[in-house]
Amino acid sequence: MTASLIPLLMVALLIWFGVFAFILVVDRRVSALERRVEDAQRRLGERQAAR
Amino acid sequence: MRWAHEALAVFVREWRAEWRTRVALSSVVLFAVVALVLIALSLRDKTGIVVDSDARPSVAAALLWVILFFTAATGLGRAFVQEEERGTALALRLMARGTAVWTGKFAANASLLLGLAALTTPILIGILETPVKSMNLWLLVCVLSLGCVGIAAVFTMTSALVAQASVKGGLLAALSFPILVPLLLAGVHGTKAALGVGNPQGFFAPGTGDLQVLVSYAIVAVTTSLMLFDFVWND
Amino acid sequence: MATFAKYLLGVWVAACVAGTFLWLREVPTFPDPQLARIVALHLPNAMVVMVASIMAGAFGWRYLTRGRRPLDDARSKTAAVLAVLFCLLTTVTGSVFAKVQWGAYWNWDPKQICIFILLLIYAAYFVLRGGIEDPDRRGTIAAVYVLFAAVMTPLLGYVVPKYLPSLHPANTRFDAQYHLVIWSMTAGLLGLYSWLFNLAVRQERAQLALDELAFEGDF
Repeated sequence: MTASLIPLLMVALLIWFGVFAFILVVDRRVSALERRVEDAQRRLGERQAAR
Repeated sequence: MRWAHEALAVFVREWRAEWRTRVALSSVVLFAVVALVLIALSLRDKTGIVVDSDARPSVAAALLWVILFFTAATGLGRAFVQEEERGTALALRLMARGTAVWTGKFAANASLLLGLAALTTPILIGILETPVKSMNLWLLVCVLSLGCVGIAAVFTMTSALVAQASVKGGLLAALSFPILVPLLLAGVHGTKAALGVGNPQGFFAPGTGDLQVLVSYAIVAVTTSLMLFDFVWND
Repeated sequence: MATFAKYLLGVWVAACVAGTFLWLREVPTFPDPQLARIVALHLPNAMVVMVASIMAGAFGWRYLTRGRRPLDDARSKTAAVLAVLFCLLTTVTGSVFAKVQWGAYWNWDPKQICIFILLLIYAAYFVLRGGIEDPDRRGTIAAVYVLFAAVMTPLLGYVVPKYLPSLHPANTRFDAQYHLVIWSMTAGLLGLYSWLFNLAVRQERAQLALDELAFEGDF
């Protein structure tokens, strides 16, 4: 191994963790969207049952 | 047996309809003539042809396949668009099953393109004064006819796809070109070999790999189209 | 996916990147032996492109043969989007690799042409999708085209580069360390691919459910 590669490694790791964090955020938002849809579906079901 | 009759009927119907209006035929021939005149005007001056004699086979091969591809794009795309426009698609659906329709249209397209290649190639070779002595005629005929069959198969399929889309103009060439690239690479390579670039010895020797690619491409394109056409047609 | 698996994936890929830079040795047969290690960042992407391409075709086939469910079309489209993404990654890493090894970012090498053509195929695929309004019809036409593309991908990836003269090394002997890092990276990127695929499909499914709710007049 050579020391000259270490800055490159740092850049590569920085890019990867940036991408990783971004995907984690997207994951959260998709989960939230799914919960919203489930709530709406449940409300619709309750309303239809009441009718 | 009935399938062959149906396919033949579609083929005959296609050529009869074409002969009545001659839209595709005249546009294809005009396109080829314009392209050839343009090539002749730009590559010749008072002293004759301006391309080095070593480079002529390569230039001829490249121009030939450009002409073939774009003629196909102007002429072969009408196959299914017309049916949708004239509203005759339904009658055709009753007349024959999907694979027979595809085969008939494909045969019509292939024959048109083959005829055009037979007209264009000698003229182009004449314009560029490609050395005839080192030419491998049978290899050239095989490469060109296999290439035309493959191009016709892909264009018959993509024109059926494009007929359903709202923008039709440029889409046909854009859909077909990337799929055709393996064929075009092998075609250009094989044509160069047939016109005497590289090793002119042996019967098919200089273009064996190209012929293999062209044959397998034609088989793959025809079988995939036959397998998938019913999904597009019986919708 | 479980939270543990996500963080494991993060650490796994980071470890592969670190291994690429710190653990791999020089390969003397390359013009720049030191930077032969880029192959561990380049090759795995190309393998993911292959997998994504085949999956796009497979879901297209499932859409056509199993009752044309909108979700299968969404899966096929998602796989195609991810194929484009990894295609771009392959092209970028490949360009850098070509710059340090062969001296130019773009050499019109058969494999470079083929990856470019694959990008063109998918560009045409998305233009085609954009040109059809009716969702059922769009699904059918797109599925047929993507299957056609999936059949041509091996021809582009393996047959054409084989018989045209190429700058790509045909039989470089990489040592065991290289194999380990390349395959670990491939596994990591396939994990990343499945995560993204899963996210996009879940999003599409939620969107379809929302459309249905709007149709019922509740949303």
